[in-house]
Amino acid sequence: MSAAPQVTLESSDGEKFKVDKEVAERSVLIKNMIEDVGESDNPIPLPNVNASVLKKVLEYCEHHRGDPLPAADADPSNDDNRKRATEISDWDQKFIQVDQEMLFEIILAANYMDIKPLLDVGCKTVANMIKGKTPEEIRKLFNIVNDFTPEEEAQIKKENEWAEDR
Amino acid sequence: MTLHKRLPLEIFGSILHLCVGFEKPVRDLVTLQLVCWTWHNIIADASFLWGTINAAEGLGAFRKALQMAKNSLLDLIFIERSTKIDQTEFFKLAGEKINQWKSLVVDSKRWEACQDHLDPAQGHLDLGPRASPKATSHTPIWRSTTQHC
Repeated sequence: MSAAPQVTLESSDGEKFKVDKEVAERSVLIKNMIEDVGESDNPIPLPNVNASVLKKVLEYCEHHRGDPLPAADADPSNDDNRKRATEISDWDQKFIQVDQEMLFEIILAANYMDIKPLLDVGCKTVANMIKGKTPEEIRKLFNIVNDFTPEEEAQIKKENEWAEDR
Repeated sequence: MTLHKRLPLEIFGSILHLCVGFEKPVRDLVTLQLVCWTWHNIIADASFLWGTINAAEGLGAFRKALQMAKNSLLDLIFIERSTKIDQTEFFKLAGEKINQWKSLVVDSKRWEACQDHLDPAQGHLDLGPRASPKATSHTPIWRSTTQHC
């Protein structure tokens, strides 16, 4: 039995990762690159993804290697996804338990490498962090400066006074 | 760098959309707008975020959502027992934007009254009690519709 075909990916900081083609092709970007240039021993450069992030992304691709590919027009914010916004599988939840910086890096890498299910998990995770929180809690969570003057804040609340009146 | 500076606007918009629930969509958005000016302005400009309208939020929220949603598709929810808005008023206002309806969930004892304010010539709606699901892009999708006629 011949071994599964493999490809080599090269991170922005020059680290090389040899993975099964099937795993790498979870990324539509890589799948298209392989189709365009054909089989080659040359490493595929990923100039926007560093080694630590690529390692994490490949861990996801490896775990989901056999999953059906999503529809091309799947939108992470479509209605069904919104209803299921808190629903992330157990494995994915554990996988995405990373610090905020890594979470953003994974989202950016999933977007660049065109791995929709991973982008979806990343966006849902951030949304779940935000949902149900007050503006002040959200500011603290993401280190956002409140740049409203007290007058401006009062004005916006006044414009939405109906929000308290059902 | 924080969330909105770190991620492309399109992704940030998707995340905000996921934060908007179906129970109090306008209140969810107003809360998010109070984080900072950047969030306030991004949300105000993203008309698609305002397309979920639940009558339970009251008339003020309903009017605000219709105004902010501009030409975006609308998901409308009218549960009679959970709202103070008069059914006639709701369908009169919502009916003005019938071409933007994407989905409608109705739970009402007076279903026929909804139909008086809708112009079937614009929306091609079959509002009979056995209206079946339709899923073309210009036709509202009937989802989980409960009618007590």
